[in-house]
Amino acid sequence: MDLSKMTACMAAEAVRSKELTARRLAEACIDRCKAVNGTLNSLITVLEESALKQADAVVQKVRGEEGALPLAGVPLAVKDDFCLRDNPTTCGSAGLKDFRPPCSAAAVDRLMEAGTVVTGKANLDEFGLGSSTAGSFFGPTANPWDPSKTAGDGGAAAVAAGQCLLALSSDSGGSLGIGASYCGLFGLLPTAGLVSRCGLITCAPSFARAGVIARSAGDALAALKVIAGFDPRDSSTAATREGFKNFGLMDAPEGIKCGWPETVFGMLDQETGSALEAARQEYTAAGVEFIDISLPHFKEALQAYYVIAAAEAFSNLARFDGIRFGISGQEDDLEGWYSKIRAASFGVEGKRRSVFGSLLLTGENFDRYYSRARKVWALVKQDFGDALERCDLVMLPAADVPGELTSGVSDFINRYSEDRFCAPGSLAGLPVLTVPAGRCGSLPVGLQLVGRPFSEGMLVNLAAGVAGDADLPSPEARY
Amino acid sequence: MKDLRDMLEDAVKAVKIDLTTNEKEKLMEELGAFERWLEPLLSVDTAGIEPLRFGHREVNIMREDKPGGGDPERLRRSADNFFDGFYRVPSIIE
Repeated sequence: MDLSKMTACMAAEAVRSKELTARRLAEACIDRCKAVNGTLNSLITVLEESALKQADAVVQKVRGEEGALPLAGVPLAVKDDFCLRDNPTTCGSAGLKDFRPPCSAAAVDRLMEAGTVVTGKANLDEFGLGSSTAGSFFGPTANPWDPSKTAGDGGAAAVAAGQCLLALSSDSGGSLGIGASYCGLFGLLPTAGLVSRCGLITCAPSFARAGVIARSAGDALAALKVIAGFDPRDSSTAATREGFKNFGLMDAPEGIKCGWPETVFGMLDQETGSALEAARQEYTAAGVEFIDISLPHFKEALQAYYVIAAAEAFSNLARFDGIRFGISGQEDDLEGWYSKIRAASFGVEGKRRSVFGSLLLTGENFDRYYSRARKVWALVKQDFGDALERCDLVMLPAADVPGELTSGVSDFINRYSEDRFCAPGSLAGLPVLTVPAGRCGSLPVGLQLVGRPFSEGMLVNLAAGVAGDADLPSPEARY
Repeated sequence: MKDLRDMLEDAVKAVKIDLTTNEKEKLMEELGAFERWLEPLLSVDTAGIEPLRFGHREVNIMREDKPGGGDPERLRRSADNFFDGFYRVPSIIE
């Protein structure tokens, strides 16, 4: 079986038509995990036993023709900030290394009901505080295209390397889009409120969203159809309670107007800029009309994001004492014990964000930074709204080329700056589809397609018509 | 008004993380770098702009006020120590 050319939709169709069993597919991905995870470190936990059990259950359902199973047998990586019942859910932190939740996240439940088989829990920065995995307690994830480079997101590396065919991921400031871009894949971040976040452990609830990383635009939409919709346990999905539109499906890209902010593309180095300009030409050739647009507060959006994200991290990290699921021990002084255990279980970025967040909410800093950041957030949202009155979507770079693989986040300003192209879309809460856009040297680069609320179908159809399927690394790659 | 070092000490206490002297010194340096990095934010004209308080779609849909399904008995059984209609938990105040 050649996993390097298979998409999730192709696999599901083969399983439903009994050309391929879910068991065989799961075994192939588990074998791949055994072969490459030691080098890539894309999965914190490989779930061989439970994956094979799930696969056998899918085999039985297919045999009995029970239900539609739109993602029958599709091997799935779940980012380790989504709860997975009775399985490790570490959030990339020492403080949760022994946490096994009593129930699964809503999106995980829906994907498993649709027939997916979870092959592993994907690596991430501690508590999702980053877009590189450099801050993971379990070490960074290497890029399957070049293991000396960062992958951005463990699930993206797993999809590119064939450890799974689909990844459920999360995003606050850019990890989903950056991971997709670094690994040459499709990353779909749905409209805020379209997918339940129940069971997603997040430290930035104003921005956190659940999304998917896939090998084709069609795979991303197929997964979105499964996970989208109202969940009474997540009030942010209330707008989808009466159902939602058909994701803005369309037949052809002719007549689509796309906003192109020249100043934003001017922030790229020349080589990456040239690669993305070539990709733009392909969209033009397909009939997309480009118009110049302006996003006046794009650069400051990154700073606004990090002020609010730090403030929310301070608040949300307060609930993790690190005792029950992390480091054991006992002391008479409860306050002192908390402080010691939290110091031992938090990484550098967890400590930094907690302290910075506390300071940003203190005294004069509250108005100077925090309130101001929330005003700039309003301006960024307005900028996108104004642009999308003139065009159907906005095109943006996703990231620079992947940086060197490092562990730790000492150079934190540079790390924060990696989110400079994705954070504005996070603030706007709009649907974002990251698409492969060729290569820069030997490494993939990506573009972001940002649409109006609930226009995911339009973005997917446009990308499917122009970008084709993902450009995957050779299965005989160096790792 | 407190100086930055005192504010940092207060913040470290507030977050309940036992930092070493070296870690605090490093954070002082990083705080300076962070403030410089945030400077572009301070130059944005925000006059007349209301701070955004909620990033998602600004709608409020009320649900009907009726009891859900649920299984109170199952919840009770999941407790380590349920006694005479109460959950018994370890004492935390001496």
